[in-house]
Amino acid sequence: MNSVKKKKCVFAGVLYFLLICCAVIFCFPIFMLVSRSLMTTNEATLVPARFWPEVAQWKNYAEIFEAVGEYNGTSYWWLWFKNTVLLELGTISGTVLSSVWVAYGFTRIRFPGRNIVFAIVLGTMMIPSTVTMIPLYTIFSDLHWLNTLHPLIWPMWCGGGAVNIFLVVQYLRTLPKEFNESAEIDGANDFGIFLRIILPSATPILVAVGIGAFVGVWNDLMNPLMYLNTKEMWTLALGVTTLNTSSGDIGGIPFVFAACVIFSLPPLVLFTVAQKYFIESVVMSGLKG
Amino acid sequence: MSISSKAKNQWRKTVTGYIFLLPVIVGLALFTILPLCKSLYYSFTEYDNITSPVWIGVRNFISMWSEPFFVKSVGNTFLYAFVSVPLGLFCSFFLALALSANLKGIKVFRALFYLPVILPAVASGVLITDLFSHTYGIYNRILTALGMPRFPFFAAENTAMFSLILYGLWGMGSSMLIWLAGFRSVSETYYEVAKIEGGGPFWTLFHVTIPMTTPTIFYNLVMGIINAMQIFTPVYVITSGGPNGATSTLAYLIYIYGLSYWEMGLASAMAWFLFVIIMGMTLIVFKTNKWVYYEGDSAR
Repeated sequence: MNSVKKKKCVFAGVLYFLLICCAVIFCFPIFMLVSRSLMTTNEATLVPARFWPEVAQWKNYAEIFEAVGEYNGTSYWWLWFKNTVLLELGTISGTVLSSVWVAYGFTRIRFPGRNIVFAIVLGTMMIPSTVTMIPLYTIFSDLHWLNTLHPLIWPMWCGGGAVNIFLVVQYLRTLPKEFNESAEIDGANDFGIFLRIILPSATPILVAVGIGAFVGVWNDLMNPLMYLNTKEMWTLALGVTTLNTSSGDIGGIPFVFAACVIFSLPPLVLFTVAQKYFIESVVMSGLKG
Repeated sequence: MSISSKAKNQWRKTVTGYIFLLPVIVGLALFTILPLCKSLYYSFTEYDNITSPVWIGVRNFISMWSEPFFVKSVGNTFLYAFVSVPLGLFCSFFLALALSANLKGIKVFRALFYLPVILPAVASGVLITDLFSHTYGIYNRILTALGMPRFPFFAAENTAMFSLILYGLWGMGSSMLIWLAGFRSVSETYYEVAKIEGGGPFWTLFHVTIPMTTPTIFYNLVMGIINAMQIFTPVYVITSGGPNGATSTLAYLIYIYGLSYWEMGLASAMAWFLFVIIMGMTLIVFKTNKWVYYEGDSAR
């Protein structure tokens, strides 16, 4: 008995040691992100590189707000932030509402053609976005939607993508069928059942879908890059990327990194707060591939 | 209930059903099927987004092979998918296995390994470029401190792809999470039986855990391949396909040809080439899924 206990202790010790080593390797770049955001411009290009600044330059975080220039008297940061918030509001509401609306049709009503449409929806997961990229550009160009947020928002009102539809469908399938039957006896129609019963019961998965939509839009580079041409229409992701590539607005690594730190905070905070929902959605999606 | 009222009821159900499916049907038609058809049409034309497309037959599908970097990009795309997906699955499996242990503070570790995934690709790309720098990069400082020569990472042709794969592994937290979910779905009773039968931890791993998580392996493999074949953002942010096309991938090339050189016909042809490859690979995985075990699968 004693030796079994001892064995377990050794096992736990070894495991902790390995995990700590791996965690240090994984988190080291993030530590460096913070560290280098606090250096002076010269310090950041020193050879050999420093692990931590001699004096932490917290003022970098204040200076980046003034360093990108203005458009008609408004700071670009403010414009990019405003665009990102508008985009988030449009996309999250579209994804959440339309995915549960569509999922209700797929799970709660039986009618011909339903399963065929569902199969097609799942099939679209296999289509690489690069194939539809160019024609989508020409379609939105014909609609005069270039350099507006429309191409980024309205597609999300069509169910929010196959993965989200699949997630919500899987969740609605776990809700008891009796919901519908008893409500129908009481004389409620499908729209009433959707609003009063299904929508409230689906809240956990909808939170997960909403968080996923938020992070997806926040991090998205390709779509803003394609559709938003002039600088005042950009999103934060695009603005932060070009801080590094354009010769222009902000000098030096520390400022770019300070911007990256601030930019990374919202998804990090959200993940920490809503970890439970995040994992729930993975459990839902992962099991029945 | 009379027959006609039953038929009426079914008719009502059908109409209501299609009202609920309307958004997704409109979306499929407008943002998937129409673009797919247009893309196929463009691939047989010469099109610069200003003058209307001119039909040139299969010429794009032939001439793309002589474009600079095309063959290289095809090779790079395959190399990336075939190295990073299995390697990522392999590593994340053992990471998840360690993180499924019942230890104090294990949740903190899970969050730490997931951290790089939540870090926006834009920020992490900028960050890695800097840390991998040949001169002032911190990793080269560590290497030189250990008495090893400097490593060029993204700066040299023969190490750039390796560095991109390394960067991809940094994000293995996402497949780790899926593994964890898969492990949790394995019923306790199997482990109890394994214990009664006297199976050690390794026996249990190979005879219970791995066979029972084949759906997860399958899912991770398919999604991993599809995503890896389309890798774009890190290439755009970190290397712009360089040096000398060493990290140029098909998705990156399609973007550059389509929306930077405005050769939309040629870019569409490349996109369809990629599409066919991805479809083919997905089909192969689905055809050979005999090894996938679904526990009591009747839900679908």
